[in-house]
Amino acid sequence: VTGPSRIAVLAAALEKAHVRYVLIGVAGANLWARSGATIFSTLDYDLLLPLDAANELRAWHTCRAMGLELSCGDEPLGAPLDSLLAEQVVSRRALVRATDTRGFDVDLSLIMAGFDFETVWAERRIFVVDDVEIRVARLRHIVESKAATGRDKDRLFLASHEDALRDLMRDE
Amino acid sequence: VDPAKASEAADRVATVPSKALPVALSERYLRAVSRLEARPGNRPRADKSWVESTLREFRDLIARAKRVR
Repeated sequence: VTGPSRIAVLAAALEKAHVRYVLIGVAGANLWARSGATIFSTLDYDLLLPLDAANELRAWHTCRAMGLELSCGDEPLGAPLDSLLAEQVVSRRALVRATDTRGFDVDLSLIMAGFDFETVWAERRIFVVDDVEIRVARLRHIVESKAATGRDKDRLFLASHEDALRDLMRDE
Repeated sequence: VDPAKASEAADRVATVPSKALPVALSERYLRAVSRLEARPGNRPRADKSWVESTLREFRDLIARAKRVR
């Protein structure tokens, strides 16, 4: 497979559309990795968006323009994609998934356990992937959010991540 | 869009908080996380293209894997 990664293409389009987002979750944690040994397999990308219907709507249009299908719950996101629908989704903090149905899945999330968007945004780190700037949450925010959520898959990630960082804990 | 139907649909997909218990993180682990954040390879605008290419290679490998027995 050649060419820029899909997340880089999406990030460039989001930037062009003035969409505010921060990459969180395992995909965000991966960008803080030191080597391949500390990368965790994940099939989706979690983007945290602010509680801003206009921003949400711009994100949807950007995803659609990339050919991604949008869904909310088990249902396709209805048409038209307008401010009324965006306001309903934002007021419920509902998650919208964008997918190319071939393995590139992006969750547009309005919630990050333990944090509000502005706190995460204020301390975001910019990394470059395939010549595109990607806004990434601080690793500390990502792991603290996973700890606050406490689902089985978060516990598994935290245990594995702690093990991967064992050498950084050793020389104390 | 019918506003009432849109509202009903949005209610069905509203995010509900996790009921799982939070995990306590050790200070040693959080210090290691801070050390990782401070590494030169994680400076602002560091090129992290290798992370995505590594993941792509891994996914391609898994996609091509065949059971042989």
